[in-house]
Amino acid sequence: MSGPRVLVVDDDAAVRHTLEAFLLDEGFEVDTAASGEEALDRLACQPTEVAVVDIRLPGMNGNELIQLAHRRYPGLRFLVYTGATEYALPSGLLEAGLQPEHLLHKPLFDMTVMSRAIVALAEPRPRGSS
Amino acid sequence: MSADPEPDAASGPPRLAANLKALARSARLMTVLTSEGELSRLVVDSLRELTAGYSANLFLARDAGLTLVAGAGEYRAGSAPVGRRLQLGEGIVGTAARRGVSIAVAETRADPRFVSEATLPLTRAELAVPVQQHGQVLGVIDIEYAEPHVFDPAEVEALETLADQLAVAIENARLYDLQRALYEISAASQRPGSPEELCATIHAIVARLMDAPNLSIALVEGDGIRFPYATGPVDLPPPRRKRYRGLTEYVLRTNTAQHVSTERLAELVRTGEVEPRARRLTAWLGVPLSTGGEPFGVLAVQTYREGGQYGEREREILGFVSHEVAVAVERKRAEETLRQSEALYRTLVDNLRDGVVLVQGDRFVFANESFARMLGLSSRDLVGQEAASFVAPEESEQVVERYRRSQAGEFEPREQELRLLHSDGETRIEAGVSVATVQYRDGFASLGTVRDLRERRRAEAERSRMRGQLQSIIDAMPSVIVAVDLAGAVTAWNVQAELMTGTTAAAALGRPLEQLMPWLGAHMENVRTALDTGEPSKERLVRSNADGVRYLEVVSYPLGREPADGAVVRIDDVTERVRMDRMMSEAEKMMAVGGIAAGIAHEINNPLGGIMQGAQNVLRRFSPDLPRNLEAAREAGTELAAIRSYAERRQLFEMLEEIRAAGQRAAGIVSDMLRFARPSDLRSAPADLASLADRMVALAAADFDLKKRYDFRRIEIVRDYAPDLPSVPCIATDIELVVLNLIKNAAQALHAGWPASPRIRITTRREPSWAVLEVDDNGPGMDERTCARAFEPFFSTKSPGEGTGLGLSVSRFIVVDLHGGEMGVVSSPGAGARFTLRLPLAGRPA
Repeated sequence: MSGPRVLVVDDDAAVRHTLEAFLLDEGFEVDTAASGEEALDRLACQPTEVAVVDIRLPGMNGNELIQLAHRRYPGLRFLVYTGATEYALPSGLLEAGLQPEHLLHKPLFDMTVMSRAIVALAEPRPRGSS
Repeated sequence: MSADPEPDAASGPPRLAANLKALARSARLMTVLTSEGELSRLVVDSLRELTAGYSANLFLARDAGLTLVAGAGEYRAGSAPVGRRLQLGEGIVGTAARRGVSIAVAETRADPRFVSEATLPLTRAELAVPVQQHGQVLGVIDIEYAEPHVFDPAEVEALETLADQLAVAIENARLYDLQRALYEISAASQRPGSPEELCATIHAIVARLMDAPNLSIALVEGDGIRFPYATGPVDLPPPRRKRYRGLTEYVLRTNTAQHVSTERLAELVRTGEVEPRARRLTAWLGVPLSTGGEPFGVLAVQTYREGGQYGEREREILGFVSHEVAVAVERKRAEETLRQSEALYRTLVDNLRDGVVLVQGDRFVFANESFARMLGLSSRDLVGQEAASFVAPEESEQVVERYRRSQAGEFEPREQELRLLHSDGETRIEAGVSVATVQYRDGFASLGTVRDLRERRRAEAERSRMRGQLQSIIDAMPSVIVAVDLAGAVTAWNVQAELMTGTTAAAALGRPLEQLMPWLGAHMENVRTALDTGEPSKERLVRSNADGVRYLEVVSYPLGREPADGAVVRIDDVTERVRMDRMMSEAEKMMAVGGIAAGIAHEINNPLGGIMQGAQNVLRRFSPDLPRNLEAAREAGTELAAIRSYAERRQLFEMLEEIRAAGQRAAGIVSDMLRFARPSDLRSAPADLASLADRMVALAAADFDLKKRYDFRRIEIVRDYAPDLPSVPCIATDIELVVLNLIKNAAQALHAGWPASPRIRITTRREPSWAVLEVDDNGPGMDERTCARAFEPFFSTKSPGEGTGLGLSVSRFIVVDLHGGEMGVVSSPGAGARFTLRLPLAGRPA
């Protein structure tokens, strides 16, 4: 049986691959993208529950990607996974439903923090909340 | 003239003979009369009575002429014209005087020499008999008759005899007058009085003896002539004049009396003896003043009266007077000299600052004004008083004993200190007394000089007070303050210097500074430079001792004006300041580094993510919990258990964990550094410190559990939260970091020390304007040095790899710089450590 589909968007191959491997081991369906543009392509091909988004990306950045993707796929949920420690959630992302607990800083000592967050996000929300 | 005064009665008429007898009695009476005036009146009265003449007159030679001094008879005016003058040769009287013989004119109308006298118009006969002594005519007796008269030769001879008698009497009277005058002068010169008064008296006496309207006394004084006395109606000399060839100088030069008439003056001017005078001179008589040696002055009289002249008699009189005047002037001069000399000594002695006293027979015989002033008296009051009564009673016995011993010839120190008693009977005067024994008035006396020591004592007390104040001031300084003289010897040493060196000021004063502070070493050169050049110098010394490294700032200032007469050295322990400076510069560095790091943090965190995630994945793929792992092992022709067994044998798991941990540490460093660079306008929000602390305890526990390093569960967590503590505005994530850091530190400290019952207590409480949170443990604690450095960046007690040393410095930065709060630690070895952070309840001040 397969869990929720997760899209990992990160331009750093090592990060992208290790996350993919971990999430696969955790039983998620995993797609990856190295840029925002590629991510939008993937989302167009596959219905996806959760996107794990790096902020610094070549081309469009993570913020733009999230806002754009949110407009196209309102059901899609996001986790921000960034290496910029000073990063704070901009208001646009709060509108996209992101909460402070959806912001994770690189590097994670223990990726189970992320898998728990994905599971929590992918759980069906009570009706009318969105 | 006959030597026999008794006329022959038989040879003349009887009436005449009887009268002559009476006349002889009168003449005898003359010899006992000593006043010329009385004598004159007696003579004329007797002649008037005894002769047939209607007028009897006596003329006396005066000033080269004749003056009527007395007359008796029937004058038209009622009385004789006393003072009437006749020239020698004028009339019968003048002719008799000039010739020195008696002239009897029986009928005056028939004699051309006769000159009619207005007040005696009836005269028909006249008899003029000269009064002579040693061939000198002293005067003339004149009898005038109202009828022509035939003179009996015996009558003439009897009158001549009487005239001789009269001459002797006049001479006697004059001598007596002169002697009286001399006696008066001598007496006057011995009476107290100014030289001017004496001169005036002399002048009055001389004027009685001769015609002397002007009298002057000239005294030689240096290159001039002084006239201490010059009185008269006209032609007075100035009080002092230069010498020239004048009459005074002429007398001095010749050292003889000089009688100068108009003719004589003309002659002296012609021969160049004297310079011409501006004023006409009638008669001048000057005699030298001398007491045996060179003449020192001239006594001169002068007259202006027409026909005035001085003769031998005046010269003699003035000669006698001059000797008395010379003696009197000498005496006055000597008295004046003595008086001046006495005044000089008196002035000197009275103006000495010190008191001077002479004590003889226990009483003051002299005391100067300074001494009297000390006692509040005048020097007059002291003479005759008992000296001991002015010694403070408590000391008088001792002083009297000393005085007795010294009088007895026993040795007593010349200089002594004693307390005098002021005349108010109360005030004591500390005095330094020096005594010498001197000869005074046929005996010994004690000559004392007395110095009032109170002024000196006051000055000493003031100096000592100033020194004390100065010492208090330098003792109040937080710095070590030391002063040295030019030779480098210590002249001041404050309390801080005592504390630093353990040497007391008393022990340090006077010793070389190099010896007392050998560690000053090279700085001593700077001290010398300050002394030599007058320039201050400043140096920082590093001194290591058992307590660690101390930084000392040594500043040397020259003392006094150039050239310096010493230097003051100030030493401050600036260790704390140096550390703070370093901290600040480290923090600044961190800020700069942080700014750059923010840019690259992302780049570092990404590969760290790859590393750490990769390591976690590898570990997980050894795990039997994942079915895919078992499958993969089988597909590879082995069992997962075998692979795990291999990995354990080769410690692959530990190695992988270490990779993860190393990655996490690197991430922590980046994160810490970035906090310094974080903009400070991050929005803060009210947070509840108690729940924040709880979250961090949980996090710390999880962290420790995860690492399996410490058994966090063995640590008792005591929560002591104040119920009334309101939420405090803060940047929660930052304060979380701080609290987590403190909890971790406490746990690590407990792990290191590991007491029997390890405990961490977390306390919150409210102070008036602060929210306070404390984390304390009962671990091993820290010594003072570690405490002091706890907040320094990169200072860590942990072994390398365990801590970066940034934790507490960042915490402090967050609390103090970002939140306007306070952070501190209290700890001592064996007593645990308590970290306190205070956050302002009102939020960070603007």
